[in-house]
Amino acid sequence: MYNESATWGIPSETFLVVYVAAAVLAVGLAVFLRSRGTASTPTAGVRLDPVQAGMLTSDDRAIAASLTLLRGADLISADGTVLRAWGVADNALGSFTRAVYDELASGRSALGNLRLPGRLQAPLDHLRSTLVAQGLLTGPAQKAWNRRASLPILVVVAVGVARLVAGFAGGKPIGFLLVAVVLLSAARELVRRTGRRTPQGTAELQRLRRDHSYLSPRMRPSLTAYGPTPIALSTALFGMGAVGLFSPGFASAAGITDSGSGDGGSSGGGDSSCGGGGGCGGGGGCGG
Amino acid sequence: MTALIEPGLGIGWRPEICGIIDRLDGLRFCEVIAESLPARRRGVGVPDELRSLGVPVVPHGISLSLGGADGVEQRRIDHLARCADALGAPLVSEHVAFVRAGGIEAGHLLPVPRSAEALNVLVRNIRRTQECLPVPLAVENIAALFDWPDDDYSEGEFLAELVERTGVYLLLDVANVYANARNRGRDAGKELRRLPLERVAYGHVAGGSERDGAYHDTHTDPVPGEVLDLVRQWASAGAPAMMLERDGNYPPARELFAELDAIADAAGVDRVTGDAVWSLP
Repeated sequence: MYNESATWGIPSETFLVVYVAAAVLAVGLAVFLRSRGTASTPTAGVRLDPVQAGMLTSDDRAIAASLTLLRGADLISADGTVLRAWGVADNALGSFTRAVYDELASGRSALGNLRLPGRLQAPLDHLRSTLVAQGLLTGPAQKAWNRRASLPILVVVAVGVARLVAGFAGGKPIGFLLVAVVLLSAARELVRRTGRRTPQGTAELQRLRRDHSYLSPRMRPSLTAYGPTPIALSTALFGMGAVGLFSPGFASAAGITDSGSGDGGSSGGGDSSCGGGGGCGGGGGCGG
Repeated sequence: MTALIEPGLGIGWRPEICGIIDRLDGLRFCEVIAESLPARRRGVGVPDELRSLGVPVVPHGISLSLGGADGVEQRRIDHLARCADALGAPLVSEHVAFVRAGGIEAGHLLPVPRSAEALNVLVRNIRRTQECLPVPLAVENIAALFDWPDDDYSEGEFLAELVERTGVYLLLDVANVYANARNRGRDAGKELRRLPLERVAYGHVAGGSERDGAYHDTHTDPVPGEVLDLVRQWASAGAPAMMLERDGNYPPARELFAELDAIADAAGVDRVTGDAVWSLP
C-alpha cells in the first residue's frame, strides 16, 4: 500500500477512491444535519396578515402590502400624499403599516423610494424576527446552523486542498482531485446557503396563493366587493397587479410593480364579455 | 317536464367576485359567460375557482346572434358546445336577439322585430344551434328600449311560437320583463303571465336604474323592489331555479349577500348565504 514516491505515500488512485467516498459521506452527513435544523420549528396555527404574507416574498412586498392598506383606508393619496391623520381605528392596520405611514408623513421619503435601505430597517427587522419566530423565515440561528452543518464537508475540502498543495509541490498530477475539491466546495455552498424562507414558509406561501387565487390579478378582483384588506393580501401574494386595476397611478408611483409570483395565464378573453362592460347590460339600449 | 336545473338560487359566476361566490352555501347553480372561457387546443379553459364550486354551471352565450339574418357562425356554436362539454352543463343559454348585421358588430343585444319573417330566421338559427349542441338550449328574452314598427306578435305570442316550432327552452329574465313593461307603461305582472312560463328552464334577476326617463337594465345596480315583487308573483305559481346576474360595479359582499337573500325570500327558496360575513379566512 505504502508507496514512497506517492504523495503522503498513498497512490493517487487509492487516495481518489477514498476521497470521493469521504466526500459523499460528508455531503450526506451535512444534508442530514441541515435538515435537522429546519424540521424542529413549530408553525401550527399561523395566521398571517397581508404585510406578513408579503414579507414571505420580499421586504418590498411587505411595504407594497402596507401601502395598499394605507391607500385602501384613504390615509394616503395615489401619489403617496398623506390625506388624514392616523386615527385609533387605523391601529388595526398594524405597527408596520403605521411605520410606513409615519415615514410618508415625515416627508423624508416619497412613495417610490421607501425601499431605500435604512428608512424602514427597524420595522422590517421586527417583522422579520416575528416570522422567524414562527418558523416561516430563516433567521441568524438558521444561518449559523447551516454553516455548522457544512463543517463535515469543510474538513474533507481541507484535506483535499492539503493533498493538492503537497501533490503540486511534488510535481504530481492533481487534475482529478482538483475537480473533486471544486465540486465539493460547490456542494458546501449549497448546504451553507440559507434561503429567505424555511420549507414551512414556502409551504405557507404556496397555500396562501392557492387558497386566495381569487385575489390574483388575472381574476380582476373587485375592491368594492372584497374590501381593502383582501386587496392588500392580493398585493402581498401576487404583486400590485390588482391595485393597478383601480388605481394604476398609485401602482406605478409606488414603484413596486413586481409580479414575480408565478402567477401566469389569463381567464379572460372572448370577443365581447358582459364582465367587461362591453356586452349586455352596459346601460345601452338593451339588457340580456 | 323534468327540471334541467333543480329549483333554488344561483348566481352569475364572475371572476371579480368569485372568492365571495365560493363562500355561498347551498348554491344550486351558476352561469358563466361562454365567451369569457378561453378556447384551448382541446375544448375550453375552465378556471379552477369555477370548477371547484361543484355545482351545475350553465354556459351563457352573448354573441351568437340567433336573430341575425346572416345566420349563426359555426365557430360560435362550436364554442358553446365545447363549453357545455367542458363544464358538464345541463343546458346552454343564449338570447332572442341579434348583435351583428352586415359585418357590423353592435356591441349590444338588439331586439328582433316580432314578425313572421324574423320568427323564421330565429327558428332556422335555433334549430341549427340545437343540432350542434350536446345539451338543450334555452333562449332569453331581452330588454329593449324600443319596438320595431312591424311587430306582428306580442312578446308572449312570439316566444310561444318559438317554443312550439323549435322545442327550445326559455331563460326568463324577470328584470327584462319589468324593464320592457315599465318603459311602455304596461303592467309587468300581466306581461309576465302572458309568457309561456311552463317552458322556462331558469330565471334571471338583475338590477337597473332609471336615466332620462327610461329604465335601463344595467346589471350594475341593485335589484329594484318592483323586480322582486315580480319574482314573488311568479314564485306564487311555482317558479323554476333563479339567479342573480350582476356584471359590474360590485357592491360590498354584505350587500351582495343581502340581495341574494332578498331574491331567495321572494322566490320562496332557501337562502344561500347562511350567516356568512365576508372576511379573510
